[in-house]
Amino acid sequence: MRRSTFLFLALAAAALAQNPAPALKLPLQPKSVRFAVIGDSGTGGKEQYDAGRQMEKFRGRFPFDFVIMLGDNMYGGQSAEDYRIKFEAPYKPLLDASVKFYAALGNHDDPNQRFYKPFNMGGKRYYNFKNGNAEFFALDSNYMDPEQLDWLTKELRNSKTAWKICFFHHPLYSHAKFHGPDPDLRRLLEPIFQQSGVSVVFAGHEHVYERIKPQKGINYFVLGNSGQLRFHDLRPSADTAKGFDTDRAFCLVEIAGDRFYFQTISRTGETVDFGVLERSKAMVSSASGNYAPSRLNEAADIRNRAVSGW
Amino acid sequence: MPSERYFFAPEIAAEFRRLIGIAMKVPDTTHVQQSLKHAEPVRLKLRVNYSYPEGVPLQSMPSTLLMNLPKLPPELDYRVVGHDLVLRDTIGNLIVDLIPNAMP
Repeated sequence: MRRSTFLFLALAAAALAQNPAPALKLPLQPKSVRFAVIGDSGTGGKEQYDAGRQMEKFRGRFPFDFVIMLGDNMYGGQSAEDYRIKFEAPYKPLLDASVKFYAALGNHDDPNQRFYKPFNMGGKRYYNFKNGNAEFFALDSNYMDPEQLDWLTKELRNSKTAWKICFFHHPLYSHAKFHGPDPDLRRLLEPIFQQSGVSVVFAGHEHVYERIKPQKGINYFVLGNSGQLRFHDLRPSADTAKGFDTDRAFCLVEIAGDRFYFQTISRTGETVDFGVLERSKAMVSSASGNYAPSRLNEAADIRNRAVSGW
Repeated sequence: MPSERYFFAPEIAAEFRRLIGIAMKVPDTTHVQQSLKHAEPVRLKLRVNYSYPEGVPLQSMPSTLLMNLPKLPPELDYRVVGHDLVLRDTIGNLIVDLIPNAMP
């Protein structure tokens, strides 16, 4: 090898080591459901833009089709210019690539965001949509009135999809110290989730990332640091499976058959959590509405083989 | 303070206070109180027929409380602001009426 060629290769390797290609932990199986998750994103700050760029970078290797937003999509003013600075500009490459965004409302959001077309809410505070073998239920946890609870119960009961995923703003479980969980909301929603075979719940509000160990068979993720951050706010407990509270983050998800793969990535491209959730056979029965009440806990059980690798 | 009540006439306001009292007395009352505390409470002086201030977060409503209050048409919602119960026009973001110190 000539000296100049060797030098070039050495320099290229050094550059790659400093700025390596994103390390993807997702299997990229054919016909899988692929999406990203962001929460508490709408600050318009540099860190939101950094995270947006990192999402675009990862999309080069993991072509996700849509993004779910966990609320607080817009902090402060909500003028047309705010929509541009706090949403359209940071995620422009994704929007240009026809990636769809589906928003839930947070406490900082003007409820009229539901009429903003790029949020795909169809003018509704709460709504559902399907993609492959998954159905998503976006809820308005700011205002969980009886009408919304009735709607949710009915839609979940009628859902025939394998994976039922709910997303909303206020977490039912959290070990961040600033807010903590919402026990009143949990008291009402958790039994509905259990009885209808909801497998995964995403929430924001706390400006940290936390994956909670399965609670009554349901996997809870808190992701409220895609734009905001409350540094070192997490007080991990025995129920915390993984936490990250020192930078912004987003999550990538791939659903392939009975497996739900996830990878949580920081603003700088570091993988802070990854793993796979697997639906048990009993869960399949639950999803098709055939579970027996005495097997409820078993029916909702999802074996969690996260983090240690798969 | 408005001199004329548009919605919460004194006898209606009394009934609402009674309903809120019932909601706060359920066995899980601590849950309601906790939810109120966790919902980023805001302290504002609101006026009837004025807009809810832009950029100030809307406090989320505890579900147990909503279960105990009369159903509203979709263009209206209830909000707790400080200790007041507020009736808000959701489309126009207008304060329709309020009950001062409705929350214990």
